[in-house]
Amino acid sequence: MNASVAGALLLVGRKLLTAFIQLLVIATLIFSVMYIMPGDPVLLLLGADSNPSPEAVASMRNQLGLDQPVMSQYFVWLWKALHLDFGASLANGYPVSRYVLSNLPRTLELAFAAIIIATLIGVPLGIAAALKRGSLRDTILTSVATIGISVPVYILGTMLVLFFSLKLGWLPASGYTDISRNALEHFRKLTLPAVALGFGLAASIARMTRSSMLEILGRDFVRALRAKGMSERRIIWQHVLRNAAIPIVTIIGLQLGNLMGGTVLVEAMFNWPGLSTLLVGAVSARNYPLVQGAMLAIAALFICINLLVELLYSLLDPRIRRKRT
Amino acid sequence: MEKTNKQAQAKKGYSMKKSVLGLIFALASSVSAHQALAAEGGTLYFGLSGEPSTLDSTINAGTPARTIRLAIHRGLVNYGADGKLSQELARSYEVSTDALTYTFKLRDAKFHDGSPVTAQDVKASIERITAADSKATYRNELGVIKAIDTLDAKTVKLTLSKPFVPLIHYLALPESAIVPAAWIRDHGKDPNATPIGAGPFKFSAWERGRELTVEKFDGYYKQGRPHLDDVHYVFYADENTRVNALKSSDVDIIDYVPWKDAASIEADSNLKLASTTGPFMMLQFNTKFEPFSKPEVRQAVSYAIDRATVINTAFNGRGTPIYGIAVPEGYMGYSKEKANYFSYDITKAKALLAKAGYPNGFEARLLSTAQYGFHNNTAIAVQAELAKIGIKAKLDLPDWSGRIAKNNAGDYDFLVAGTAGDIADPDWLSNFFYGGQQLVRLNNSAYFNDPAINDLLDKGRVTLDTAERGKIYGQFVDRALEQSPFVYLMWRDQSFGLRKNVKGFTNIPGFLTFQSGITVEDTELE
Repeated sequence: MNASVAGALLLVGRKLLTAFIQLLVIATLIFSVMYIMPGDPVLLLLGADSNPSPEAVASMRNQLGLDQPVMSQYFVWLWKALHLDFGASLANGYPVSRYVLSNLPRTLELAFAAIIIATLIGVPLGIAAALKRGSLRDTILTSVATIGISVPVYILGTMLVLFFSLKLGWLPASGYTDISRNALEHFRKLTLPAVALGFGLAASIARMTRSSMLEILGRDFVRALRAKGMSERRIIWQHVLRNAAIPIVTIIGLQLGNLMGGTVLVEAMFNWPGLSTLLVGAVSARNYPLVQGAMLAIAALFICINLLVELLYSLLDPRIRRKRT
Repeated sequence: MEKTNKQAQAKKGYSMKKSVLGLIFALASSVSAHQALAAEGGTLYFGLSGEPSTLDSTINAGTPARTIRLAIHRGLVNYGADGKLSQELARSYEVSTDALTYTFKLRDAKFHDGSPVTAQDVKASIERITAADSKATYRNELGVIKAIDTLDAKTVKLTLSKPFVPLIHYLALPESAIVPAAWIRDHGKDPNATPIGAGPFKFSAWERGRELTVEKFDGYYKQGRPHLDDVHYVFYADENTRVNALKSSDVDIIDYVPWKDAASIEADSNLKLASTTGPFMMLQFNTKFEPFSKPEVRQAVSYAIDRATVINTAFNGRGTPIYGIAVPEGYMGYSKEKANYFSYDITKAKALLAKAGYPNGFEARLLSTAQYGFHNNTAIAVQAELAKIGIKAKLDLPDWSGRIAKNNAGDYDFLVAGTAGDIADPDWLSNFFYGGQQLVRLNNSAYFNDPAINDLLDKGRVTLDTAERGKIYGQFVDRALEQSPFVYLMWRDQSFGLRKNVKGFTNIPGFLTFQSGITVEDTELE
C-alpha cells in the first residue's frame, strides 16, 4: 500500500513537471500569436469611436510598457508569472489573477454540472440499451444518442432558450446570479447552459456505456457467473459495470477537457461570466496579459483534469495500480 | 420613437386585456419577479452590448461606457432628450461677443459624496482634460481653453486662445463631465477608483464581466428625478443573447438591437422598438492609392453603388440611403437639393472612370471586418456593386482590432466605416474632413488634405453669426461633393428594444442616439 502511494506521488511529480513545461510552451505560443496578430490595445482603449491624438496614444503605450521591445516584454512577463504575478488588465489595471479567480470557478461549475447531467442521463440509458440489445428500446436509444452527438451545441442551446425561456417562460434565457445572493436563481440560470453543454456528452457516454457493457457481457466470466447461479442484478452491477467502467471514465475525463472548449460557445450564448467569456473579450480587445492569464488557467485546468482521470484509472483497475508500483 | 408612441397609443384599448393576462402570467412565473408595479421607484435592468473597458470620464470608450457614465455624471451642459443643449450644472452661461470668453453660473448641485459643485471643481475637471499628459478623447478640442478663472464659488470663466464656436457642444459631451476637484487629486490616475459625479445615480457596484449597478442619488438637483431606485447595467456582448434576455424579461431595455431582430421586437405585444437614424455607413479612401487619388474615381464609386443593395444585404432593409453628404436633416449644412447628388447612375459612373483613365476598372483592397456582420455584409454588397463598373474589390476582413489598426496605419485602399458625428454642431465635420497635421487617422480618408475644405472648416469654427455660418457650411458641402473623399452609403436605424412597461426612455435622434443613456433619469417602470 505504501509503495502504491509512493508510486502515485512519483506519477504526480512527473506529471507536474511535464505540466510545467507544457504551460511554458503554451505561454510562449500565446504570447507570439497575440503579437503577430494585427491589432493595438491602445487604439481600442482610447476610443475606437473617435480619433485619439498621437500624443495620448504614445503616452498610454508608454504607461502600459507596450513601447518596449517584444522580447523584453516577454521576459518581464515570464519572470513575473513565475512569481505568480500575472500582471494587470491593460484596460483598467485590474489584476489578472482576480479576473481569473472570479471567473474560473464559474466555468468549472458549468463544466461539472454538464458532466453530472451527462452521466446521470448517459450511463443509465447506455445500460438500458445494452441489456435489451436489438430491441425497439435499444434502437430508439441509439438513434437519440446519434442525434444527440450530431446536434451542435449552439443549435441545441438556441432551441432550449426558444422553448424553455421564450415559449414556456420557465427558466431565464441567460445570465448569472451569485449563489450567495440567491441560490434558487443561481441554479435556475445554471440549468439551461449545463443541459446544452451536457446533452451531446450524455449521448456519447450512453453509446460508450452500451458498447462497453455489450463487450463485457459477452465475456466468459459472465457466462461462468451465470452458470454459478449468481443473480442477474448482481452480475450487472457488481461485475459487468465495474469492468465496463474504464472506457466510460476515460470518455468522461477526455470530454471534460473538451468541455472547456465547448464552454466558449455556451458561455457566450447564455452570458455565463466564465473563463471563456473573459478570454473572448480579452482577445478582441488585445488585452495581452488577460489573454495570457486566462489561457494559462485553462491549460492548467486541462492538464489537471487529465491527471485526475489517470489517477482514477488506478482506483478502478487494480492491474494498472500494480503495474505502476 | 414618435412612431412607437403612436402605435402604442392606438393599441392601448385592446392591449388592456393582454396586459391583465400578462400580469397574471408574470405573477405566476418568477421570471418577472424583479419588475415593480409602482411607477415610482423600482429596479431597471439595462442590457448593454458590452462591458466598458474603463469608466474614466474623459475617455470615449464606446456607447456602453457612455450610457453608464451618463447616469453617474453631469456636465455644465449636456444634450437633453430633445437633442438640444440642456443646462445641467450650469444654471446659465454667457458668451462674449468676440466668442473668446464663456462665463458659467453654477446651480446649487451636490456630488454623490455630499460636497457642493463649485467653480473649483469645474476648473479642476477641465484642466484634467487639457493637461499635457492627458489621454482625454477631446483634449484637442478643449485645448483652445487658455485660462479658467473662478470668479466666485459659483461662477467660472473660460478664456479661449482663439474663437471656437462649437466649444459649448464639446462641453456637452459625456467626456466633459464635472467631477470633484478632491476626487481628481486623490483618485484621478486610478482607473479603478469608485467614480463620483453629480448625476442622478451613484455608483454602487461593478461585478466584472457581469453587471454594474447604480443607485438613486437623493441629492440630485432635479426635483422628482430620478424615478428609479436602482439600475443594473448587465453586459451582453452576444447580440442574440441580448435579444433573448429582453424577450424573456431578464432585462427591460437593450441597446444595439440587431437589424434582423427589429421586426420580431415590433411584433411582440410585450415589447417596443425605439428607432432613430443617426449613425451612417460610408467608404473611406486612401488618397495615396493611385486610382482613388482622383476625385472622379471616388465620384464614380458613389454613382455606381445602389444603396438599396447595401441596406437590404447588410441591414435587413432598415436604413435610409444617402446619395450626398451625411448631414442629418435639421443640422446645419443640410440641403434637400444636394441630398441626391449621386443618384444611382451606372452610365455616369463608367464615363467618370473612363475620363479618369480607367475604362476597364482596376483592382483594390477593401478593408472591413469579419467580426461584425453589418460591416462584413456592407463590404460584400459594395464589392458586388463595384464589379458592375469593373472595379474588382478584394476583401480584407480581419477582426475588429485588426481593422482599427490597419485603418490607423493607412494600410488600406478603401474601407467600410460605420460611425456618427460627435456633436450636433456642424463642426463634427472637421473630425472627418480636416487635413491638418495628422493625415492618417480613424475617421478621415488617409492623406486627404484639401486647402479649400480646411479653410471653410476653419471659418465655420470662428463664425458666430448663424446665417453666415450656414452659408459657409453650404459652400463646404459643395466642395465636399466635388472632392468626395468619402462615399456615403446609408443612415442605419439605431434601435433600443424596450419592454412595454418602460416609460420615459428616449432614443435621442441623430448623432446623439449614443448619448440616449442620459434619459434614464426620466425612465419609469409601470
